[in-house]
Amino acid sequence: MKLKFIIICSVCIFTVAFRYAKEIFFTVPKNWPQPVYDFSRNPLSANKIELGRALFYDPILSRNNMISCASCHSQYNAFAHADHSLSHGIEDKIGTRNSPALMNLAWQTLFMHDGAVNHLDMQALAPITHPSEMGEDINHMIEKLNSSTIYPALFYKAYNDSNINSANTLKAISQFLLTLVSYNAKYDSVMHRQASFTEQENRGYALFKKNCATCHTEPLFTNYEFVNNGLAIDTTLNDFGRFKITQYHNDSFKFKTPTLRNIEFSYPYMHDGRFKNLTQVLNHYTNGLNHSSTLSPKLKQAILLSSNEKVDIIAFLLTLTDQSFLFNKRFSYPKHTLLKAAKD
Amino acid sequence: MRYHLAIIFIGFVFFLKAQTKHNIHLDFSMLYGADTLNLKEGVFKTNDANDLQFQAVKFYISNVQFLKNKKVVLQESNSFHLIDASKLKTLGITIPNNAPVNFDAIQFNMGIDSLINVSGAMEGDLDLAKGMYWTWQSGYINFKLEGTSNLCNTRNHEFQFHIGGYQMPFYSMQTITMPIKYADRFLMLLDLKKIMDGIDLKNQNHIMSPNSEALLFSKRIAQAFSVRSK
Repeated sequence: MKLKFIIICSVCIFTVAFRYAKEIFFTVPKNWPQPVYDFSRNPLSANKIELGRALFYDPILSRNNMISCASCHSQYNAFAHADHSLSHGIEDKIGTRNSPALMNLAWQTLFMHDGAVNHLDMQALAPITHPSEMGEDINHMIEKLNSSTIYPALFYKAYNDSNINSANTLKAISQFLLTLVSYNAKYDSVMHRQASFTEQENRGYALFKKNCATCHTEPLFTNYEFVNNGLAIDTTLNDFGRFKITQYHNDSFKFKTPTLRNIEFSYPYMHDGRFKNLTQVLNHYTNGLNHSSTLSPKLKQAILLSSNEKVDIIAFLLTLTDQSFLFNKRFSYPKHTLLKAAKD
Repeated sequence: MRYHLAIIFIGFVFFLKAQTKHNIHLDFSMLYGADTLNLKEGVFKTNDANDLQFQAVKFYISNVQFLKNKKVVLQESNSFHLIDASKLKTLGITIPNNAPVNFDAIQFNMGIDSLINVSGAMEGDLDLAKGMYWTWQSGYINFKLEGTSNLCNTRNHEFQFHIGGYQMPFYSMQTITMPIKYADRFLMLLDLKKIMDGIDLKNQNHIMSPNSEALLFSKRIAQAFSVRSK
């Protein structure tokens, strides 16, 4: 009798505890800095993340309902676009920049290669409305969502309100993007002493710290600064980078330093996708720098690397590949919401 | 008995009066010199010799405050208003003054401050779907003025001034302070002639990004406001 009572009590307590335990959707990985995104203005919830995921994968956000965010940000490329040096939009239009990999966005203050966008919530607006990307008008997009068969219900589940507006749409997209945290590469296991580098990776890591880490700082592998890394101007694009935003001549040819996490899969490289592989990138830093007036002071002294050393650095860079990120089912196409809707 | 009822009734009237909310009404009106702008038909023709016409006048008024001896005595909470000359219902702002307090000046911002500009997606008048937000580069458009003039050597003689910028040195929000005498209804006037007179439409017919021209333009807008009690 007594035992029965204890069992019933514990079952009740566990049920209540599980029901009210706050589900955790975002954690700061060990030894990482605090994120800059203000979660208090957009608290994460399972239904909002799921809504954002549906929006991310749904071509309804584009004018002709053909291109989704995921068209140029595919999971197996670390949410970049393989084999396309410049972004590829509706009606086969070609943009002017390489679609960047998406991860660890809660730590990022400025978005786009030139920092044109100042908040994660506002980021999606740029590709959605760009005539060579998704080409859609924001009001038309909201109308389409409001009259769709699935979104009023998904918004109701997320916000207790089936009325769709730009703010709750963009915030839901942010929710999904915020969950894209990559912190489970071999590098991380080594740092947590759960694995060890090979000899070659160790040599590569030492060379990396000496030659690359002042801009690609650990643990995020970027300091998010805007620098001119010595790329000669592509006269078919004449892209002045950050200068366009700030109008400061000192900012000419500066672009945001990207993360190197999952770099193995986010090719091609640079803001205009000019390098197809990592060897080309390293050759650029050793032999290809264009010395213009705004070249980063950190690059003024030549980087000297033998071809064997380059191979070692690349071996290290491959330890930044995070399989649990690239193949995480929570980040993939939401069949249960979108395919079901397509069938209905 | 009747006497008692009368006292209760008078008391009740006073009670009601004490409960009456004191509100301050701001009514916005756009002018071109002596003429009142009317955009109901979608276009307003001025008497200007070069066939100057306006098609859109939209701007943000934010952080409305009332001052007494240069100190803030009353301020509207959540104070963001998109004034659109073509939409009558956007032209009035009502601010509760329940205390009520006395004041000798009104102060407001033309535009949106830098903090809001970097704080993500907003609703209401700040909803970016209202068309007062740049999509290719973050930031609110503080002031939009569009129209045509024979002086513009552009497609359909159009001019477009989209004035924004929330970062130094091109921070184009303007704080405007004007002395007023206590009243509960004010006419807020914006004279577009004062703005246009400073512009050489032959050489300058569009501003679409934060820059020094936009900053100069925003200063002209600030000079074009005036207030009258009604």
